[in-house]
Amino acid sequence: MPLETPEKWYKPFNREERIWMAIILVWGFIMFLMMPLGHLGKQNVSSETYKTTPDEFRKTADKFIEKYQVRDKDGKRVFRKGIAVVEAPEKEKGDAFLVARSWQYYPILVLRKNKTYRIHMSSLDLQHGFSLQPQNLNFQLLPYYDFVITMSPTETGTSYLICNEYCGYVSKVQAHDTMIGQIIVKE
Amino acid sequence: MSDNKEKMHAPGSLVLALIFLAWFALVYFTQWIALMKNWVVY
Amino acid sequence: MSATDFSDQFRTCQTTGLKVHRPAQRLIWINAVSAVVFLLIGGVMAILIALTKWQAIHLLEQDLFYRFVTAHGTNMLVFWIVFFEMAGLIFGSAVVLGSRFPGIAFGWFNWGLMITGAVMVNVMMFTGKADVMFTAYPPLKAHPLFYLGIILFAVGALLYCFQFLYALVIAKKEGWHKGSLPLFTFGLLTAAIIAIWTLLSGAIAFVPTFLWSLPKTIIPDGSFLRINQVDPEFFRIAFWGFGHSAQQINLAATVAIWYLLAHLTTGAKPVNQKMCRIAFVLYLLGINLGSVHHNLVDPGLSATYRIFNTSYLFYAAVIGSLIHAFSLPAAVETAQRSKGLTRGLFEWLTKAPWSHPGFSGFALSFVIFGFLGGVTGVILSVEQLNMVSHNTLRVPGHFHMTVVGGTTLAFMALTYYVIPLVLQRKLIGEKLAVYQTYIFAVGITIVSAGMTFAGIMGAPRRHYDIEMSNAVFQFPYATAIKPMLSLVGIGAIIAATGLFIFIGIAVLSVFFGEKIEPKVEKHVPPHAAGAA
Repeated sequence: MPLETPEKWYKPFNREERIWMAIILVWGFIMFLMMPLGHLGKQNVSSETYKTTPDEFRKTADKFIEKYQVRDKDGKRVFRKGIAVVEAPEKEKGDAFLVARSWQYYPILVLRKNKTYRIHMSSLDLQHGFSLQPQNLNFQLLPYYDFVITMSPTETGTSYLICNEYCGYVSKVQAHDTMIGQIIVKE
Repeated sequence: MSDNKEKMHAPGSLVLALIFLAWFALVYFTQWIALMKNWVVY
Repeated sequence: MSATDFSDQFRTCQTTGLKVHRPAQRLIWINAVSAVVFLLIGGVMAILIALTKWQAIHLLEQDLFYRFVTAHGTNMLVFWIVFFEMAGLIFGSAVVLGSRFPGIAFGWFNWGLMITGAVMVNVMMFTGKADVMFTAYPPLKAHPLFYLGIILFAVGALLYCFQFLYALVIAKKEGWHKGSLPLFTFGLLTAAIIAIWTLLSGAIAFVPTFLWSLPKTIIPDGSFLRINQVDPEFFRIAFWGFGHSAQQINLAATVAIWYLLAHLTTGAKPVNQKMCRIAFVLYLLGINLGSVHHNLVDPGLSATYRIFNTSYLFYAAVIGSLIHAFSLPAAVETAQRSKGLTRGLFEWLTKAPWSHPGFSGFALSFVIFGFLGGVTGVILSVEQLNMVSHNTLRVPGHFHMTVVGGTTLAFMALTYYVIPLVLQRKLIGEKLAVYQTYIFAVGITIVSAGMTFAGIMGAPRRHYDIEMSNAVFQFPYATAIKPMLSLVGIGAIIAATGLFIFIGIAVLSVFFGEKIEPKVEKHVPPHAAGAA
């Protein structure tokens, strides 16, 4: 019959159809309402974005690292696996910066539990996928877009930043699948 | 009302559809509960 | 030529009584065969990459992994599905309406564009000049012929869509068909209209990107065609206007096929066609801008834009699907009950023709698409929930439920009818067909479950090595994820078995199956002005 020309297909709804239509329309509205209602919750997607260029972002980030990099007791700058370790300022005191580039996240940010941070994120080259694990928070990072995410860690520990947007490869050690960073949360 | 007691034509299908919707609602709201346990982000 | 000059070009189908325009049948043949060729390529890619995701085996090297993920995605999502849908459009217009298909030479030209594009894209991918994934997001750049191939393919498909619409007009104008469109054709009509929007979006995304990929030796600085940068967010939004709308096409086509299969196997008639047709129209309305669920965690978009363009106030397209969720089983139930299967709530279901591949394929596809694919899809499309899903393996987990467990399985089940009824060859290996549907369904469910749970634990998609063995830090959560990735590998072996059985039956039958003699009969437009 799906292949037949129907004579008159306009028929009134029967009882089951009316019941089902009513239920699914209510469910549709519930699902829709959850989206704005979700904004009353504590996890939301930021819209705060600024235009930038890779050059400008890199320079601003380097200044940030210069100012906030952790120093050891001899005053020397601390690195971990060649990546600068930086103590981020809380949002009342300043903004933090995170750079994504093929194939690394830098710097390694040190945050404090239950404090709030404004972190500017951008890419210097291709699209990258900010993926904080094990929290599993994911954002898309694009060159020319400075994405500001405000976040507050709820537990201490070491989290890893992996990249979940394919960003090419040139060798076994320089590739999308070796791109990693860290975020450390202290008390 | 069109007839005195309207006959149900496809009761089994309505039950299956309702089971599906219950599953849908369960999985859906579980995700929100899981998200609430995450870091604060906005 | 008047409409009666085509009267010698028809045969009458001995099973359905439909009048089949034989030149249209040849066009259906070439598009369906092309579809299966790309399904085969995509399928070989699938098993190779799945055995790489299974860390214990880790079959491919890094470069081939990324190359084959690109080749798998593009061949499956674009070439297999769209060639099959073109065959469907020709069938749904000419054959279902008993009409001639207008512009046979034009139809061959369109196929020519599509096959040229598809071959071009494949050559670029396999020679390593397009390691950019199916999504090809700038600033990743592929060889210009990759983009040109996609554009050619899209133009061919777009022209086919216009030709389909024209065929509907001709069927009415020349008197081949009178009255409302049959439900199957109506479903395909909504698919074709969505397709026009989809392909235009694709042009907006790919034409500038193609120009950008051309070197300065071809388009020098100063030329008005010189594009030095494609804004990455612009591309993402335009691309997904193409990419997700394409899935809405697949959905409309899949649902149309479900109604057809349900009817062919159980005699099911939709209880109320008004409901079904409204549901198809909702797919049309609830579609674009609704692709923004791919951009929920992108920079630069407001919450209002995201919420509105994902849901249209009541999730219009989802409501459409939820209508079919009742309407299809109700159609089967009504037909089964009228045959006397009225015991309890479910005798109509338990005594349904489960050993018939047309029914099992339809039913399995319906359940996988609905229970699994649809639910996970809605979840991924919620702004806040997307933060814990974006670019994780949950995303391919979802779309393998819909596109593979849903659409591909339905297309496979339909093919078992298309081969004898349209392509006029008896099936070889028919007894295996029903097992094939179950094997494929089980395999793809395991693959999708493995991907979904791995993604919930944070596993990224399109990633060669979850253990990050060559990175400066290793990823400690890989241990929890690895068993789920093994499931992906195991499921893929099962699904690939199902896939290759299908391809085996299809290819053997189409080329070596016993020919069914056509009943050639003159056919003139029964409703032309002045006709009896």
